[in-house]
Amino acid sequence: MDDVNNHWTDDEDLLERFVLDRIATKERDALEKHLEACWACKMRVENEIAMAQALRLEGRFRLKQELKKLVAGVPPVQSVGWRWVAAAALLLAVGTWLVRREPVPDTIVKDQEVQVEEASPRLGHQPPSAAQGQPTDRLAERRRTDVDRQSTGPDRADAAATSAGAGTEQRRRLPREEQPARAAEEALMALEGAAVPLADAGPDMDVWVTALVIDEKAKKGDTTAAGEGQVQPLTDFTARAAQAPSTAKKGLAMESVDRPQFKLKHNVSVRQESQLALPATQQATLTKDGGATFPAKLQQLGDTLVVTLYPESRIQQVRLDQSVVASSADDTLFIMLEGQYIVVPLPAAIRKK
Amino acid sequence: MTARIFQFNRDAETLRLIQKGDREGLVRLYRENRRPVVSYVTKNSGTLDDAEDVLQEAVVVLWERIRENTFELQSQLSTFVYATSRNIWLRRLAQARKEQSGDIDPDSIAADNADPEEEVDGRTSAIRAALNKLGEPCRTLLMLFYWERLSMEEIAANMGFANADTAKAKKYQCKEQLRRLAAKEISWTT
Repeated sequence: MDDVNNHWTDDEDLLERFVLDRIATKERDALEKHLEACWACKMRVENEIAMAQALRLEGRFRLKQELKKLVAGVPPVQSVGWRWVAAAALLLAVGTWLVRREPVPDTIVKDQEVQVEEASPRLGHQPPSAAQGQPTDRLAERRRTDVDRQSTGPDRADAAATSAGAGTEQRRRLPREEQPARAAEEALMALEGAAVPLADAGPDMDVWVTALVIDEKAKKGDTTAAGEGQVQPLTDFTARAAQAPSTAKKGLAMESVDRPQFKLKHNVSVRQESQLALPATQQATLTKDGGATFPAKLQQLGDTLVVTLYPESRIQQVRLDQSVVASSADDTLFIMLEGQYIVVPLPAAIRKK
Repeated sequence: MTARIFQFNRDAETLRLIQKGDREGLVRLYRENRRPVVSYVTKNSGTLDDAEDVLQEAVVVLWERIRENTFELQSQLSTFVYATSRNIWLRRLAQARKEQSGDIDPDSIAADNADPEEEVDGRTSAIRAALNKLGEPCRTLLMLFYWERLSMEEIAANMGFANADTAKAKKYQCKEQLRRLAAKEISWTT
């Protein structure tokens, strides 16, 4: 290339790669150096650039014309429509609440699990006897519990509930602090290679799982390491990381499969609560190679799956709503938050049929 | 299985459509961004036609970035389209007002979203004119190579050539033909 009589621009392929920016920087520098001493070569490069630009402009023009035809008469997405949908949903929710409201004492019932059970009798795999239990009996039991709380205080109320119920009822009345404890334990077990005993959660309880979050830095690093140049956007996938402890340890291993699933897309409500609200032993955010795990709680309220995340503080600023729910495979829910990806395993008990 | 990170949302689906060459991806982008772009342009001295033209331009810019493999999804697609539309419109306003003491500084507008239409020189215009005189399959072949950024293997498969070498030889002939046509328009140096 240093020989001014040996013109690299005679190489048509090289000329195209130079103009289309498909050569390495080092090689480009050498070629440009030659151009400084070769006027004819410079002109040839400029002509090639002009040709590429002309074809580019022509392409733009044609695509724009095509787009104009395609969108002619296409109405824009009306955001006001979403407001109506939201308003309708709110009205429906309020109406449902009013209908289901029963004349109980004015005590505020804080036991979420009771509400979940009443709103969603198909949560979990209930034994026939439990699933077919009389609602009036449950309400009566709840009223008794509430009366007990009023008259004897929470400790005695819990004791009364424990003695009144058996089996799952007993588990349902466990102090709330004990449930996050399970999540933390499961998160630790997942990273240590033990199976997460999700099926052991019990039919009437909230289901606690271990969610995995992957951040932007990890994404870039991993992509570079894979030699891919840039992110490959695909939607047909599932993630094993949140399920298989061995992959979770690697932090980012995901597997592409040919089964697009969006079954839960419109029925998932994502919330988050500060992990600081959990007891210290439950604040189980574990970082591993750019990925981190933390507890997540799953509840099924009617047709809506409520996912409550207990992440560490770094994603607490992000507003969560249904729009961040990306997609769902059969057994995994994927949530995208600005530059971060959250993988939530879905136990069989709460998967939508 | 090579570790990969995927974008898990509707944007990813839109990108996938565009990568596949499915125009539905472009229509979706247009529809979903029309309202904010129209709002912005019409509130800044533009008309509805201006807004739609700017939005179409922005969508095409995104399409081009994706095809050139230079687009990396770092925010929502709507953010990119809106920002690009805004830059294109500001640049057009700046051009229109360049004789006035700038309400808008053209240099302050992001250069990476610049509208390339404004940088056309006489030689490029001549080649475009020649391109319209170029017959088939040359015009399609060159468009697939320079605009669609397809490889010679893909072009061969797409256009029914025996193999990539055949397509490459044909491309060379087509370029020579285009140069000859353009030379009639201007002084063409080879």
